[in-house]
Amino acid sequence: MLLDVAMGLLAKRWPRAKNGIRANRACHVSENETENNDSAERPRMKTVAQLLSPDDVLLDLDVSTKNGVFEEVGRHFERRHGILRTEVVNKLTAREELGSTGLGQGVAIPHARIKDLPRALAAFVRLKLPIPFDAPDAKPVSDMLILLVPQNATEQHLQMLAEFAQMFSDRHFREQIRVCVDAGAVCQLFSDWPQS
Amino acid sequence: MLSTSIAMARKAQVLAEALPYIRSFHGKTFVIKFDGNAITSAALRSGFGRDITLLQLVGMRPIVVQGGEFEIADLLNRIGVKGEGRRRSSITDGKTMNLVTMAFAELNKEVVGLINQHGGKAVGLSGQDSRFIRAKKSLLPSAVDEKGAVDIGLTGDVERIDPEVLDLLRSNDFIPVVSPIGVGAKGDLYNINADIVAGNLAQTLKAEKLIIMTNTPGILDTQGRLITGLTVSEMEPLIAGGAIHGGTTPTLSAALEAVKNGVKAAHIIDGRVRNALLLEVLTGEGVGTAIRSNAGPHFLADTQRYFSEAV
Repeated sequence: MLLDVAMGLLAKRWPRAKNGIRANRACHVSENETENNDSAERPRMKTVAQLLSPDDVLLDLDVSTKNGVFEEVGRHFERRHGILRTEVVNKLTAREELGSTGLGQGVAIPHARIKDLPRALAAFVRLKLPIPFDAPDAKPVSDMLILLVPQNATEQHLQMLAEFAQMFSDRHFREQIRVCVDAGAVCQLFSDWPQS
Repeated sequence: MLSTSIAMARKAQVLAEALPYIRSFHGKTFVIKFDGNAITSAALRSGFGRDITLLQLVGMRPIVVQGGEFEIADLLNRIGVKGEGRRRSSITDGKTMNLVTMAFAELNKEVVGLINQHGGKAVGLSGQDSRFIRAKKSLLPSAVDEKGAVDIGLTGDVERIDPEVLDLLRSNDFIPVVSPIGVGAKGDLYNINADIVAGNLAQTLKAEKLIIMTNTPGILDTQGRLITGLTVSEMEPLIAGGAIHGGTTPTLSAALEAVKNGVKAAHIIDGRVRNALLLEVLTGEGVGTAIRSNAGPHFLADTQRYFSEAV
């Protein structure tokens, strides 16, 4: 992947919290748990598995534009977490304007900083057919992990995104996620990563 | 009955999935280097002809440049002429140049035939046609024990390309199949490395992709693992440090130069894989190594910038 080199540097700075991943095999944490950003000496990073419940997995969405996906995702976050749909759409779009969040190989990680958000939220979207996304390889995108982070995003959030990107740079992982038949299987795959 | 309908549904899905890729690359130019040493079997060759035709018929604009080292060596061998070489560069004298032209012509006809038998409209030409590839003599830089640069005969380099004849063919949906022969200022012919010709063509035509089909899986790291993607700035130090394998020096430099000069991406792919071209262009994963310019989105750098923006 294009990102391997940069990711390698990041990984050196922040060794992956493997114990955390193994300790929490369940797919999500309770709704009222908030992020502990500043207390630990070594930052404790949330894994996708901790952020994502099967309810946050939207499979075979039938939309044909980037904006269409963001609208659907906005609706999802509004329904499930009470965040204003337009805020989600506008912020995700604003981030795309800085440069596409497509990684190549059909994957993207759209993300946005959201005012008054107490903790990071995630959703996973798999589209019925890939859509244009201005990805670096010019290929359309079908799989997206969407992350909303608090307005005062920290290095930890950046590290989380780097970690997610690294996960999707693994071809075997991409192939597996594309054949998951339901939301539970997607969550299980995230919680099994990295495979030992 | 049920299994038939599931199989039909799957086929329909596969076809439907190709649409977004076709849309992304519609009307885009791909310069594809055909390597006879990689695409060896009759099945692979026929598959190549079919893939090129399919890409053309769904609206992409392929141009094929044929490599011919393997065929030249084979011809020289068959008629008992021993080629002379200096530091891995073959010396092309007048007699050898005639044979080179013969070998190229033979392969050119074959590649044209492969495409045409699948319904494409391929036209074979060399740089001599309307003198569209202007060549200059290339000299090997002198080594420690040599006086001055070494003359390697009629081996040349691209001086410039005049795309007029190609544009004429392409505007009528013909698929040019190019032999890498260039013409010097005095009308003399030069044998040019096919990767270099393909790279220069891609630059001149502002191609979407330069695709070099090789007999390696792509660019490998020192542990022999395939590197799937690199930017120019990631690739240059790796080449300088000798940290990559797979692909010859002309292949790597043709890919680098193309991407530095406006071609969106250069791909070094494994020609021994069946339907390598279709997999590269019409699926998300692709095969081999993609080399991209430093421009374009950079996920981590852009994200860092986004996070550092004032609230």
